[in-house]
Amino acid sequence: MALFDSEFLKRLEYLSLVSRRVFRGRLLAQRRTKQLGGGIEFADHREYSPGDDLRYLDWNIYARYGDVLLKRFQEEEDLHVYFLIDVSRSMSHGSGEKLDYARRVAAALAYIALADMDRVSIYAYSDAVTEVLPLTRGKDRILSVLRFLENLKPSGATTRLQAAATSLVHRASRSGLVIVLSDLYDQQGFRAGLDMLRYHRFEPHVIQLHTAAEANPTWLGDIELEDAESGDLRKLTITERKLRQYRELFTEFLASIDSYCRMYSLSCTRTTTDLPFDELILRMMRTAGVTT
Amino acid sequence: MNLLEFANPSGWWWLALAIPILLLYILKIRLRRQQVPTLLFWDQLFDEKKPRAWWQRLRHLLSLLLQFAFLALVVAALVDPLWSWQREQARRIVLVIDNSASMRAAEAQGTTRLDEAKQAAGSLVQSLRSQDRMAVLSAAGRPEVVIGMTDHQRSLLNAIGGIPATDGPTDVAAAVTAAERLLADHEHGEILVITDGCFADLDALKANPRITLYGVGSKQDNVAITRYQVRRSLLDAVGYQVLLDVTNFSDADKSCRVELALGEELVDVLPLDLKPGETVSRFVDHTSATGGELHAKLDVADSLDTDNRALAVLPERKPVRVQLVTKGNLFLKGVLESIPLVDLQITSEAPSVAPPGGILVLDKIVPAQLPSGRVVVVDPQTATDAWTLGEPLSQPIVAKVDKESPLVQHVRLDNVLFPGARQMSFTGEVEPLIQDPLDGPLFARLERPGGDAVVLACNLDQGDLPLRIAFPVLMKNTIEWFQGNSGELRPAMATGEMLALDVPTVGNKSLVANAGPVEPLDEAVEVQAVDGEIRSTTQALELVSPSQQITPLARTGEQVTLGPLLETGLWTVRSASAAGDKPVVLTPISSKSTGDETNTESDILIACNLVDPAESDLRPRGELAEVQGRSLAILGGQSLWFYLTLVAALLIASEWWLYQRRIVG
Repeated sequence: MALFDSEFLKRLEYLSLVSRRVFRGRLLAQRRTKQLGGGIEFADHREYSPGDDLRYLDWNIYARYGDVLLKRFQEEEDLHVYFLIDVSRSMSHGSGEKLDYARRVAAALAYIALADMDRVSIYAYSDAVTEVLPLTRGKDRILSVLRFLENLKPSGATTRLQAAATSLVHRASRSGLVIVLSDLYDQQGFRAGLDMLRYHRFEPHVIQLHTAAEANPTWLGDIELEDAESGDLRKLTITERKLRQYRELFTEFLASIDSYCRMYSLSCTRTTTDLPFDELILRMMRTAGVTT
Repeated sequence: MNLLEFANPSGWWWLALAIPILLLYILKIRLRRQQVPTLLFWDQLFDEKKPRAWWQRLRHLLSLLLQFAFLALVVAALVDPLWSWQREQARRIVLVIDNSASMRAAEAQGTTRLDEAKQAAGSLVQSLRSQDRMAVLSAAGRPEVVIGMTDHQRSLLNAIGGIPATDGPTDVAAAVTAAERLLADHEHGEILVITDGCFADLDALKANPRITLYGVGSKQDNVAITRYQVRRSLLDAVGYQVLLDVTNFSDADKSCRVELALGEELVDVLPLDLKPGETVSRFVDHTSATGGELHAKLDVADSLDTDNRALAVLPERKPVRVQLVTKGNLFLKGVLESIPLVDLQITSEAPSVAPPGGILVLDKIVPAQLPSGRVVVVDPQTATDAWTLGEPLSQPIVAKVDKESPLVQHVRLDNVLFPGARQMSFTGEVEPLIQDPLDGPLFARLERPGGDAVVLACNLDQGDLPLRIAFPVLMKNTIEWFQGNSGELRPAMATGEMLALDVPTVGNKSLVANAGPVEPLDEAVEVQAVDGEIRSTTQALELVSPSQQITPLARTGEQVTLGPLLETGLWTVRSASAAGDKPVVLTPISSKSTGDETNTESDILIACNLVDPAESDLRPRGELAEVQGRSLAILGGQSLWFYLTLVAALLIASEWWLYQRRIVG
């Protein structure tokens, strides 16, 4: 089955209709407003969650009603949306479902952005940026976007988000929203790459992908594990106790992503490949308050 | 000399199993491979255990070494190594189990002493060391080797379980002698005796260092029949006398009753009061012509039931045919009719022979040829071939009586005239029993090849002899003397005694039975088929026990030996039913019979009772070691293979434990 078939395109259209103005001041309006300096338009309130910047709390409402709400703003100008898609071999491990999933999600979000007349650029990376789709605009460019995504191949012996981010900030003409689609299995750590984006006033949005088997392996006994990226081997004896420890470690890893994003007010979406990609998009929209 | 020897050296071949283990080990270390998106987490997980990394590298090797060690231990156990000191110290044990009558005593737990002894013996067998050998002897009556020297514990346990309870006497001393013979001069020989201690020579056994006496049972009170015999009366043809001893083997007074029953019929009940240790004897006279089994039963409830019962065989008395030839003699007729068991027939013509098995009484009428058989002649009027008659005696008065003869026992003839008596000259051997002053016989016994004759020279119609008490006594003595079974006794045997039956060789018709070493069984039997044909006396005989166990009797020359009889009750000697196509019967007959009687009864019955004060006294004669919980094994007494197997089992359990925790691969 083709990665982007007609059914996929219909879903994209549906998502585009229900997600008007997704990016325009809805996802992370506060950052964007600050960046623009003026032209701030109050848009909405949303509930405070731990880690939000206290400077954007609506103190008047708090003083009057005791409700802790965060003010959200809308900016009026077009948006640069960059996609950083991890095409390392860890994403194509097994049947390559993570990479496919990432490409579908990227296609959906790019379609919505293009439909809103936002500019879209796609960077594929593993240990460095391997493929780049330059900034493009207009809904009619969606086919070239899809073609680009379809032609992405897994590559690289490691994953280095920092290298990709560095390349992005150097190449991008201006800052914008950066959607990182990756499993974040970065040997150097994902934080350096995101920090790099933050430091250059990009707005990172992290979509962390993993499979259920990665979260909950079931092998027991003596086994030789092979790293899908580097090909390194490890002879291990896996016991129930070790499996328990692995699950705890993986949960800690996911929690560290959440914690990081919350600390820096980054938007973060975590999903497994079991969830249909359109469900994921809708969930993101509901979280952002774009649709219900 | 080698310190270590191997009972099964071929077991070393099992070491070849190391090869497949090694192959499996090599195959095993080729691990299955699993691709993962990243090793980040696994490295993090296992890097925390880095101090154990060297151990991780060795863990597979350790697993292999553990498997080799297990194999080595199992193979070492299979070859059954034996230390030289173990072989040298192997013991030979003879276990003597007392299964005498006293071991049947019931204990408080509902078991018998023999049950306790068997249980204790089983424990001892199970504690044998592997190189030890054991034999088991029983000690009731004649010692018997239940099982010879063996180290096979299951066979020993089966043999011990099969030791029967008997009513025999204890003969531990004989069993110990047999045990010592079994042990010979073995350096590490031991004799273990499990007994209740109810025998006399306990101290002598305890003095023997080779013997260990273990006791079972507790001190118990008991009242027992310690003697029981019955015989036919010496005075009365149908009478019998019972001799009964009852002993109180306790420390308290006892009151009880003894019931005597002939067959199903109650004969007498004797109340008894017994002091501690006292033996009470009772003589009981009764009459019965039929005979049969005379039972005695004590009505006490004690722990040993066998000695509360006793049995004796009372010989049957059969009627004797008496043919009186007379022309009318009321005195003689009346007297003969009054004698018990006399079947009187009166005729006027003298037959040529006496009736078969009977007695011919001739009153005055005497043929010239005195009839053969048992004949009584009263007042002979004519001469015969046995005597001639002379002149009438002038003073036919009693002057001399042979008081030794049973024919004139209890006959008082003071001032009694024998009118009509004539001088008699006998042609054969004669024994004058009553004589006149001139030594003329008035009453005499003639010895003849064809049967004895008794002659009374007296005209009963003229004198006062028929009016005297002496006359019926004289006639009764004469009839009973001819019957010849006065005081007949078939002694009841005590358990453990032997009985020898004399069996003539082929051609001799009679089979004479003698009752053991105590008293002779004065009886003859004849082997004859039911069709009257005399069969070979080499006919097989068999002994039937009270519990209907049949044992063929082995002939030794002219004797068949029975016993020792170890069961109380009625034993039967009979011809083997399968010996021929025609059944053969054994018929007890009188030793004084002419052998021409009809056969009616078939078997020889032998009563057997415990009547053993030593067995009935259930109080141990001395202190004995407690057997419960005793063990023959000592620390380290097990063979080396046992410990090797134990270590192998521990090792495999440890390996499993380590593997489950992935400490070994």
